[in-house]
Amino acid sequence: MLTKKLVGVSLFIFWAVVVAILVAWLLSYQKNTTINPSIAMNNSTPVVLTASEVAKHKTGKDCWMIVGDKIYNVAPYIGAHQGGATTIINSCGKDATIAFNTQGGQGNHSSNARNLLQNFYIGDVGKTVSAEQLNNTVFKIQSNPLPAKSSRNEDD
Amino acid sequence: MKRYNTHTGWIIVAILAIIPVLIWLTMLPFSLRFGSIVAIFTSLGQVAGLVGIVLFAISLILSARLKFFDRHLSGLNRVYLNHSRIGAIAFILLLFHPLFLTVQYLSISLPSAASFLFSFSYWPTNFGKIALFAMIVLLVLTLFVSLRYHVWKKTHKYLGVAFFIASLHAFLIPSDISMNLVLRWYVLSLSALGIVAYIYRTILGRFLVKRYLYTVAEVKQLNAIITEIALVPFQPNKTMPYAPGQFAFISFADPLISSEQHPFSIVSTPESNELRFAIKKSGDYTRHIEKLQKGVMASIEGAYGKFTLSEIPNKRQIWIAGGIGITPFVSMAQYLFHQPENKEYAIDLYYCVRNDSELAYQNLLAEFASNNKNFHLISFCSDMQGRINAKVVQDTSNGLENKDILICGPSVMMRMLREQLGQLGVSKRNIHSEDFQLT
Repeated sequence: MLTKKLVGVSLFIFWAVVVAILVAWLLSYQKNTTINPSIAMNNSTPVVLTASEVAKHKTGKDCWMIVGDKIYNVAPYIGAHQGGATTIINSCGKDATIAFNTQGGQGNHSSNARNLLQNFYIGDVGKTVSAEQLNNTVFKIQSNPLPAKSSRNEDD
Repeated sequence: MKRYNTHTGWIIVAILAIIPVLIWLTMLPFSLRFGSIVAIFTSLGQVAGLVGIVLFAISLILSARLKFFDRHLSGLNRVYLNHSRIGAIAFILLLFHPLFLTVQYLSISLPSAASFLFSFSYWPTNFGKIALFAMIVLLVLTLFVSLRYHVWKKTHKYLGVAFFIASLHAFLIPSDISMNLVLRWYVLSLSALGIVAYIYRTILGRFLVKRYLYTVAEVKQLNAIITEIALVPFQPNKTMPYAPGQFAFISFADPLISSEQHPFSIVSTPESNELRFAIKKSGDYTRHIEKLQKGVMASIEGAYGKFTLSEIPNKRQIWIAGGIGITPFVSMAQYLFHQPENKEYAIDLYYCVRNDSELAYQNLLAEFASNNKNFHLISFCSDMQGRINAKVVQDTSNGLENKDILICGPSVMMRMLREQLGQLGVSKRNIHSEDFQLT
């Protein structure tokens, strides 16, 4: 009887948390038609994609990183990263080329993972992008929290 | 039945569950594992997954109904009880496994947590989600829904499939298991044993599990609710060995009876070539047992159980039988009083029923009582005398000291008597019970 009660309570907690997260996310998703506030919406000044610009975007909610000669905003992907959130967050705002290519010393990311990364592409290092282009890129990423092509049948 | 076997079993389970945690602890410094609230929840989630899958494997191994466990633990009854308990603990841990891991994503953002829980784009994680969802459905059916036995049994078997899918999740995702060879082999070995045990009992059961073929020789109504069935071996030299007090699983090849397997206590003794069972009408299956026809084939698996005389050295015993719980005692009494050397036994048998119409074998037992001064039969009808209690037994049997007490009957009766006997100072080591409910 005690076992049955414990299972019942655990099931209740499980579904309560899952449903709460789902409902909260759906409600916030409906409201989320604006661009990430960390990007200056009304700033018409073009942005030069340099390491120092990347360094300004170093949190889990706004996570830019350099891989190779390209810059990516991987914030929407952090929740789905199979290697855990911390491994990505540690590289936010930085050059993550080595970390990505070596999977933090565990190996190499698969070709699927590399393809997946392209969904978060902002621009090439050194390129100048307009605020409008940047906003469209971010909006595209945010309104599609998980990219369509994500057949991750290998380790990331 | 030796109590220490129950504790030994639990100690082994605890050790098997702690080993992966100890390995996991050595993989990273404590400061990383427990350095923040988020890290603590992540670590709890990882440990819950590790221990959960280990206990799930153990639960499957116990469900294989291996004679090894029946002999070396406290009998198949307790093995099944512990299979249920361990399975429930595994399930609770596996529920909290994703919940605790979600905290790290919640600390980032709600979309991150949502994508962790509701994304279905990565198959190694999908396997985990599918397995967990299947476990939820199947265990809700087991614990909270009243299904017919044969329907429930069919659904419960799919937990083995859920375990297989959970194993795929455990081995395909990048995790502590994938990063540590020792941990990987440990969890792999236990998972493999669980899957092998499952396949042995379900898919390969008809080929590998030893069964004895008998035919129905006689079907006799002992009273309105109890039917006695006598079976003879299909081949004379292929009889099932058993000890008085044990039970076996039977399935009949009779179109009028369901072919599902059920456990029943044996009322005959090993000296007889015949195997006799007394079955009470109590459910969908047993309700039709009186329709069984002579000549029908029966497949018998057993014998199981440690509710036997050989397990209890003390020859001063009190037997308390409730309703159909009389059956193992009938076998034991027949065995005792056909063996001259067993005259040293001193037994008080309390046969408890609601009223006289439920009595069975009372003439046989009364005959033993009249021919053996050390065997006393006390009938107890609750309609007239109220429910039996330990104080009545103590007073009627001239004390409970230096006696072993055997109880077999409805679960409620056994639980109450155990509590009452404990309050009167009887040690748990001296109380032995057999629960007919295996789940």
